[in-house]
Amino acid sequence: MDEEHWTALHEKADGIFVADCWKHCGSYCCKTNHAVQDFSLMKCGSAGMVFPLREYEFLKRNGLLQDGFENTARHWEYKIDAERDLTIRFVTAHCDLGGLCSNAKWRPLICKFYPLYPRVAAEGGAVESYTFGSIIDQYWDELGIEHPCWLYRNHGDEIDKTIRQTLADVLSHPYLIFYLGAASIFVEHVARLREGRELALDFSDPRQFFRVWEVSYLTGQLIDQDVLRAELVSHYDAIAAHHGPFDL
Amino acid sequence: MNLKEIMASVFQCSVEEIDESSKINEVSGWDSLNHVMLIMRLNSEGYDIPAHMIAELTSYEAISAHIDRD
Repeated sequence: MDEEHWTALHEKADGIFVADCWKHCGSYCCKTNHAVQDFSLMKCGSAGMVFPLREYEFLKRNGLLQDGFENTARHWEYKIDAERDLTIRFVTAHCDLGGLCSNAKWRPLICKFYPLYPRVAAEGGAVESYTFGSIIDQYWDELGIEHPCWLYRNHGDEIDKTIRQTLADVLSHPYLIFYLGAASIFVEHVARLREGRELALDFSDPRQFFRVWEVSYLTGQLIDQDVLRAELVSHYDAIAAHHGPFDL
Repeated sequence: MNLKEIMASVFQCSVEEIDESSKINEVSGWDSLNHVMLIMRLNSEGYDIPAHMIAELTSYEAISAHIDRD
């Protein structure tokens, strides 16, 4: 993806339906501050950022990173196929701005898409489905708790419509299709892996649930590396079937 | 290596940034992921920190007290 494509994607994603949503939720997505999120290790009052490496590099190269991101940025590599040298490269960072973005127009894609992350068809353009924009959001339904995001509860249709109408032409590059899909695959993998595992995840006690979930997640108990790698390779191959092999 | 040196190595910060009042999310590099890495590193160094204590040992003071008892 070239500069023009990243710029177009960011500018169009900036127009996804928002409607001063922060006024209705206490900036939940920026602060991870729901009353039942009784975390001991994950930092509350801030948000975890994830970037495909090339998005991070685009923002950094053009001086568009939000304040503080570079200080907490950590680069990761995750090899999904050793034979073909397929390696996912991404960057994590913490955002402590609490909704007061230092450069709102260029906030990360993970923020612009929240609360719904699109899963794009392998050939590009069409949105096939959505996954929740935060790994923690997978559980509200089962916990019997209303989703904290006012946008999600009240304007999901408008978000869907905006994404489909305005972003179809920019959701076309295999790199982007891969990373959007990879995020969905990871989140859904973690959410469903608890089935069959002996974890003391008690949905009748949300605070207890998140305490146990936090340690289970951070210690890798909710990830089966072999299964996850296979899912991601399958995802890559489906895209490469349409676009040819591409760099991750 | 002593505890402060191990922590500085895992968090990629200076030893001087770690003192008796240091806590998770208050020291550069001591975030939730590196906290788990620290526990794994301490266990690989021969200390015994069971999984149920990971969320309890979130300060230098608590970790130090636990490994002194070990």
